[in-house]
Amino acid sequence: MSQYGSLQTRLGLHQRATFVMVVVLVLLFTTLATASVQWRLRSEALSRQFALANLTVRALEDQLTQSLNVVERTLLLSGSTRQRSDKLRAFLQQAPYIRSIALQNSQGVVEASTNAANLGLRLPRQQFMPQSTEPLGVLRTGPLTAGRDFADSRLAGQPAQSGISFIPVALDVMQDDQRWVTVLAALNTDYFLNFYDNHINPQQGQVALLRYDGSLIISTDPQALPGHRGPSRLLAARLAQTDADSYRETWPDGRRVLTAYRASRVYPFVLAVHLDEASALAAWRQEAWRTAWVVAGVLLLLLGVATLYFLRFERLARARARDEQDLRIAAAAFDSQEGIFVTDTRSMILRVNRAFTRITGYTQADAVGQTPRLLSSGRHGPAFYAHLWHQLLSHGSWSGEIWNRRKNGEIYPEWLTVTAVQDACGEVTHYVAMLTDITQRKAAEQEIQQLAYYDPLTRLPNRRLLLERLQRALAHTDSEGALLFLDLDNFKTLNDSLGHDHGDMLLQQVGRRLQAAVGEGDTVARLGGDEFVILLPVLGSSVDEAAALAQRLGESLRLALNAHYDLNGHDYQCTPSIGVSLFADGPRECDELMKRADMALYSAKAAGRNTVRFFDMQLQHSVTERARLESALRRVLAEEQLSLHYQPQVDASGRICGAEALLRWHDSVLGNLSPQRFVPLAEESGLIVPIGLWVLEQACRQLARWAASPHTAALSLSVNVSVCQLRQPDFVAQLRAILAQTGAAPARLVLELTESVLMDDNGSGSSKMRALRRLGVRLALDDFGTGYSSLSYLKKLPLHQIKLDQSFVQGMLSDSHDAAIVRAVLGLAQSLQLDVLAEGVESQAQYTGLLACGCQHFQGYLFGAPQPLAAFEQLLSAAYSSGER
Amino acid sequence: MKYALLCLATLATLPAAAHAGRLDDVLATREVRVCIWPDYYGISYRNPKTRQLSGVDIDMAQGLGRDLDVAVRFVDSSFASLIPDIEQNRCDIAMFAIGINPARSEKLRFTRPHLISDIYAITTKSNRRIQRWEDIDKPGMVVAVAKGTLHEPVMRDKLKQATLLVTDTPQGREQEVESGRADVFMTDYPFSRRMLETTDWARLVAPPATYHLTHYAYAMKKGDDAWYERVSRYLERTQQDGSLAAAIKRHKLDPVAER
Repeated sequence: MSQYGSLQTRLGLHQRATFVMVVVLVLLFTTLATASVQWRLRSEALSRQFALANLTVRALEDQLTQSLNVVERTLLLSGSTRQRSDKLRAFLQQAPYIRSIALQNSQGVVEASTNAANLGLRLPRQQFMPQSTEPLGVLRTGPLTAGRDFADSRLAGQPAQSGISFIPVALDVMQDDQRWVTVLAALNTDYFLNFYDNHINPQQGQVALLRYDGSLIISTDPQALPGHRGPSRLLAARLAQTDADSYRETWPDGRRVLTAYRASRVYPFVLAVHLDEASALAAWRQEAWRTAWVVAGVLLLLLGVATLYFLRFERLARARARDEQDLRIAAAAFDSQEGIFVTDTRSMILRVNRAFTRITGYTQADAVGQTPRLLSSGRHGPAFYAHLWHQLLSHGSWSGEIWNRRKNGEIYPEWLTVTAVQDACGEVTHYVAMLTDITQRKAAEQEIQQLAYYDPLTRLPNRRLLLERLQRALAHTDSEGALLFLDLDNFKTLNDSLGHDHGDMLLQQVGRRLQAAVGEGDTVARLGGDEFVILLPVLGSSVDEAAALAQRLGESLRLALNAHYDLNGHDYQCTPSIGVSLFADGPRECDELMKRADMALYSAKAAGRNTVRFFDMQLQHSVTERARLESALRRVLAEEQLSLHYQPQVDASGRICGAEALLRWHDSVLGNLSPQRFVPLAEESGLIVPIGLWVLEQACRQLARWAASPHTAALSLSVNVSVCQLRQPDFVAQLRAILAQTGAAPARLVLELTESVLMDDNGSGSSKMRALRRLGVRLALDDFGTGYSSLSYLKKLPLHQIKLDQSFVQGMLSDSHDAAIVRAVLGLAQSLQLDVLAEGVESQAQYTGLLACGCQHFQGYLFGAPQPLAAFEQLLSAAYSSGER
Repeated sequence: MKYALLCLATLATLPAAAHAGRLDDVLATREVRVCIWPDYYGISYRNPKTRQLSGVDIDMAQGLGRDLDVAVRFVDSSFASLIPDIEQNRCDIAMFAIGINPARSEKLRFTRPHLISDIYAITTKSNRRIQRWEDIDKPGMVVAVAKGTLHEPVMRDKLKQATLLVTDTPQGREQEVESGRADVFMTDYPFSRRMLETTDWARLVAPPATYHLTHYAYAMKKGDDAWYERVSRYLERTQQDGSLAAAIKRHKLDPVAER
């Protein structure tokens, strides 16, 4: 850039120097040309002024000579005969510039004159020139004389009047009598001055009338002194050489003057015209200034325009240099390591660079004219491209990862940046796409991720990944989960005895076993050493459930790790200690949870190792309790701790028509256990299946026994069937086998199902029910009204009976809604031809109410609590005997 | 002598004409005779090159002729011969801007004046002694006036130190100044204009304040009321219809028009 700048500067300086030189040359040339023209004009003006002066002096001399010629003739006429003064006056008419005429006799006395005052004057002859003592027939002139006439002048010895003067002239005339007289005349100076003034004004210069001896007679310059030499010092010398000439000179007062002079052809007078050079050149000077201003103005204007033009030229040159550099940079950038292609607005590829060819395999010839679909990998759907275009159109650019296909078919990831190129109006003209092959980067990234998130030994997630996943799991607050800390007991001993490679081998196998034992959503991580963590993010919705599952899984992990290991030929066995913390144990925070699980692990170790311990002691307790219950339940069938109780069911007349068989468990250690306590556990553990079969078998045996006695032969027996049972694929076959084995009448057996059976699976429940119907057993829907109570089931399923839930029965007298439900259910059953049995009937009033609503069968403490078989049979006998009576 | 005889002859015809007024004569002869001074520039000037008459009073005289429906005959006169020319019936009326002064009023009857002028001096351009009006009445100065003009008595009366030179003719006073025998001559506004326009040497010297105003009018014989009334009526009309003012303006004499 600085190189570019200095080049620019050098270029600019060179151009500027040239420009300044041209400007200076133009200025110089113009100035010289103007000056030369002006000088020529000045010379011409001076020549013209000289010509004017010559012309004027010639005209004035002409007028002077002619005037004097008239004077000479007039004087000749006046003197030719003897004249009286009054006759002389007529001669004055001849020439208005003759003020007076006087005749002087040979004695020099004026004897006649037009002015009486002149008579008798003696006038000196030597004053006149050319001087002559003898009579001379030529006009002679005296000096300028102050006064109006001879009579009041110095010539007459009088004090002269100031301000008025005359030129005395004289002519000797021979009269008829051969006597000479001298005729004198006083010439009016004003006459000549008027004439001169009319030709040359005082500003132009002055006109001087001199005697031929060079003394000044009159001048249009009021300051001139008559009698003295004129202002021109050169004149006398020039006059000595030639009678007419012109020249330039500088006067004593500093003025430069153009002088033209001319002597009269006949008379001893010289006329000189002096033109002031300054005023003679005034017009030229004015014109010269004007021209100079105009030229200067035009020059300035031209210079201004030229400068502006030059600056503009410079700016353009700079812009061009910049553009060229930009182009070079752009060209260099285009040949970068990044693949670049340029498309028009219709996505037609116009240009690609070498890197593009290197990356994609497509040459310029391959790509130009194609659209970028050429590169499409097929991995991105239309939505991806739609998003790309939306982003590009709305923001002017898009960048992101994209999978493309090389010419050889290889699919590779690239980082693509597409930028819209806009023209000056903001219209998009092209798109420039830059792509970088990021295959290696992706691989590196993956490697980095592997290193960052996985334990290199076991390939299990490391602490960081665990924490991330844990954080994610904790964020889902709607599900319970657990964190298990696990370490191997006495792992250090193994390391010490067999070496680290065997220890590592063990850790790898442990990792594999753990991984195999957990579900897909669960995470097995290794924190380091023999420390493993198992994250169980989803363990049902309740704490108890979560705890149970965690316990079970922990247990299964413990057992899995207890199995023998083959460590390079060494048979090895080890035990783990497992600490469990549920999410619900405390704050749902990673650190807290990890700490809790660690503490649980510590307590497991403290509890003697190879065990599972919970962080929460209460939970630990209940889990232990459940475990104990479960192990007890496993023994229950073998040790015959289970028994059935019977609750009587009556018809509308109050006669016992059947019973519901209810399971009872009496443990030698735990005492009597209610079904609510152990049935869920049995269902969870799957023990419900054998227990259920036992119950069915017992019930069928009882039915068979009752069938033998006439007063019990009509009794039906209801048995609850769990979902788990019904889910058994061979449930129907097993029931069929029991019926056959016991010989019980299927019609007396009523299987009570809950709504969950119906909702559990898709249609298999109902098909199984139909199979049960074909066996001849009857089906009842338990707890009707508390669940979904879908009416479509009632229609669809092969039911015999609905058991109206006891909550409605107990509320029917006090709650109008319950009463309404009771009535509705009864009405519905009637119309569907279903039998209804009301549960939980405890008072006569309820019984009466239900009867009034049309209910046919009843069960409840009013008719008898669930009781051992002996008690029930006693009740039957009592009823039978009372009935017989 | 000839002059005296002519006067007598004219006087002899007077009684014959006396019985009838000028108006009747004019109408009878169908001609009005108008005395003019043909050198009076702007008033009654005869161009020497064409012999054409022009001037305010020429226009007015022609107008009078039209008004009377008679021919106009111009009779050359001058200020020197004005009174005898009128008295001896050489013309019916003198129309050349005659300055009214007591001497003339004694002999002549003047119409209502139509111009008014002060006195002006004419000198040569080269005369360095006279620059202002005050320079005129100084010792050694010679002031020329033409005989018979109103300026003669005025200047005779007014000049205290300068010498008065009376010439026989108006041309004489110009020659005196041109030759330098006199320094200035006195004249009125119209004549001064003629000097300035027709010579190259004349220079006007004007009084700084009013010096001596003179009213100009037409003159006719006394005692002829009918003629006088007729002429006055004509003049009154020309004043009212503006033709007099137009004539004055046409000849550039509006600075001296009687207001």
